[in-house]
Amino acid sequence: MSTDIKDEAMIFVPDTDVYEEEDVITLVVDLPGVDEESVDVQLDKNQLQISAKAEKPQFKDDYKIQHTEYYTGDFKRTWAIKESLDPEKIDAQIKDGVLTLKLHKIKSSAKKIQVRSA
Amino acid sequence: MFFTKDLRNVHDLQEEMNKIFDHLNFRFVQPGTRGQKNLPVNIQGNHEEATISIEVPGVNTEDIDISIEGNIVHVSVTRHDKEGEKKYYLKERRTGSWKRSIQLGFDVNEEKVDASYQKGILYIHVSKQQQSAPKKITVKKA
Repeated sequence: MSTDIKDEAMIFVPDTDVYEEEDVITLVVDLPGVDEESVDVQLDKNQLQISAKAEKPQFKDDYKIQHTEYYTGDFKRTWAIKESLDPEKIDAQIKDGVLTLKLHKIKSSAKKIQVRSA
Repeated sequence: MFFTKDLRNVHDLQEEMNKIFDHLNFRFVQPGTRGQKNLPVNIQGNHEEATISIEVPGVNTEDIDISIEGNIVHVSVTRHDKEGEKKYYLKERRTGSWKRSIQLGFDVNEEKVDASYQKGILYIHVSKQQQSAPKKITVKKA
């Protein structure tokens, strides 16, 4: 069985850290082998989907696999987010195989009414 | 019985199951367990040279140390927590310092080691140390 077939069948769930501040949720996602062109972030209502394609490194033709401890493949992870997020304000940055996503919460527009004593 | 070793814990069992399912084009994948180890290593090469690939996203190149000792490549890497002490909901990405010693089938030419860090993967290219030609000894007549 060729390695190529096995690789194509694999989708990994990337390791992720999630931080929350007052108005920003930050996701830090490990995506080794992925660059900015091959990562896709979609926000549909409260569902955030991150998918990415890791590029397979090219080696010389006569190279053979001698040892394998990790497989290359695509990444996919979907999150349900309780807070309302602003789809226009998502900052995404990828550096050294780590994606940092900053999601801005939509502040509640309900205005607090002060009740005065008569 | 098809298990080849004592199964001490769930990870051992999972590894053994993976070995079986690898033949069936399937592998168990859990969140955060893409590789079982820190600094997972892949090696590709031929008899003369090899490329060691190590998956370690989000590190500074200053925090990577590589040294050669005969046929062994020693690698140590430190990954820092860049977000600091912020309040978190989930922390799956491991931080800390890890060391691996990778034994190759040939002695490494220390002059010809090339290391690069691209998209979170460390590539170390090594070549075989060419052995000096055997020295011919002429036997003098007495």
